[in-house]
Amino acid sequence: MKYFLRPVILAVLTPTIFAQSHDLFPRGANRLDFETDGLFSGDIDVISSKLGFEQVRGSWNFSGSVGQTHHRVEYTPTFVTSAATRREGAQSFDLQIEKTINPYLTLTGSLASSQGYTDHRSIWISEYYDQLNGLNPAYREADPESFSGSLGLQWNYDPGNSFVSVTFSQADTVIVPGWETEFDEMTGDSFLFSTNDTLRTFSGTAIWNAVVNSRMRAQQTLRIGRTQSRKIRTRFQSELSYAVTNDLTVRLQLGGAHEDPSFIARYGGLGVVYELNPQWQVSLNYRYYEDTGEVNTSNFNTSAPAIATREISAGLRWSNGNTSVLGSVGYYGIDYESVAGTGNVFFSRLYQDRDFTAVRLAVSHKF
Amino acid sequence: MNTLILLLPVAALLTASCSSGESGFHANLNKNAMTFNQKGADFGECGLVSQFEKGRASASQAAGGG
Repeated sequence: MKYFLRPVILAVLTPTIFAQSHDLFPRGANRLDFETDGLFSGDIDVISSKLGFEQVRGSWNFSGSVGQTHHRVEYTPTFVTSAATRREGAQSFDLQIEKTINPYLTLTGSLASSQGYTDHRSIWISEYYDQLNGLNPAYREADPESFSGSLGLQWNYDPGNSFVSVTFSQADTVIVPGWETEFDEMTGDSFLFSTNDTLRTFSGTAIWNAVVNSRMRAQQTLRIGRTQSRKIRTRFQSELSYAVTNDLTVRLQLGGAHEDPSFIARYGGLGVVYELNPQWQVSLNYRYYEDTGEVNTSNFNTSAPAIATREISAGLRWSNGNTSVLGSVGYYGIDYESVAGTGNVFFSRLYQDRDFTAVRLAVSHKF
Repeated sequence: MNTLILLLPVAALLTASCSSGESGFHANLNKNAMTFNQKGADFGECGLVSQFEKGRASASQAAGGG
């Protein structure tokens, strides 16, 4: 709870300070976004909603959002534990501030926090340990939360078109730990203990966004980060947008990641956006992702095995200039490598192949 | 081999980014479909896939995964 309260207090203070003796909502400088995403399969359903607000006030840009995520997980045991339905919610909050120093330099800062279970995997692992150790007085139920902050500088070397930015961030995350019982051979007593449940991550991100020509934009993202007890993870992503005609835009994305000793990820995506008329546009997207499985840094093994995913979706967007509405529906499939014969066989039902229906509804309004 | 795979997208798009194109205003460049920091009704992807795809550069920076 302590992580969640800090940015909430700042969120209340910041607009209070800047609203003094000013019009609270200057005409044409505000934007509201509401978005809901859903992923539905037979045993895991996720719905996440977010309400965001952005305001440009002179050389300042403020934006922030509050979010709520609901999970329904049908826990099915492999051994020992029993079937259960778990419903969990999570709240999130974020705040970003930008200060334009001159046309070439912009300072950025952000705060974000969440309280509760933000993914289905944490819920599944938590249910397993709750059932296994719930009667042991040494056991503590998980209470996941996170807090992160960042500072950055953006150099607009071609103002309005191209920039290079560098951002440094720190994230503190309380996760669902693994638990294990150890026997003392001398006394015959047993002890229940957990892995470290608080992780700190430092990362740096560099972005190069460039106009290639009058029909093409490109963006390169390099992120280097390190979570305590682990090696450095390097991620890279290249994106390209190309206006083939005035009505047809093609978007390309390629990326990858590496972390010693054994994590490698690679992915790619292709999107096509076609404007039927000034109000309506349709889109079609395909993405593929694969990695070699999570790095396991302890004797406990709740780590995800190698995964391959694919998503294909179609969207329809309507806009009248100030208000836009987007709806999309798609298929999202995940294939896990088998965990049979490995240390995380207890989670074989968690790490099984699934087919999801993915939906998204979003409304944006400028005023 | 792994390094090569990581460097492939760099080579492909760095070349494009380095070319000296027209950088002046053009209506196509300001369309929502052309930008990379989309949100709300301008962003067409399901944001929940980061639960599974821990290696994406655009995924959450939370430390729990991977």
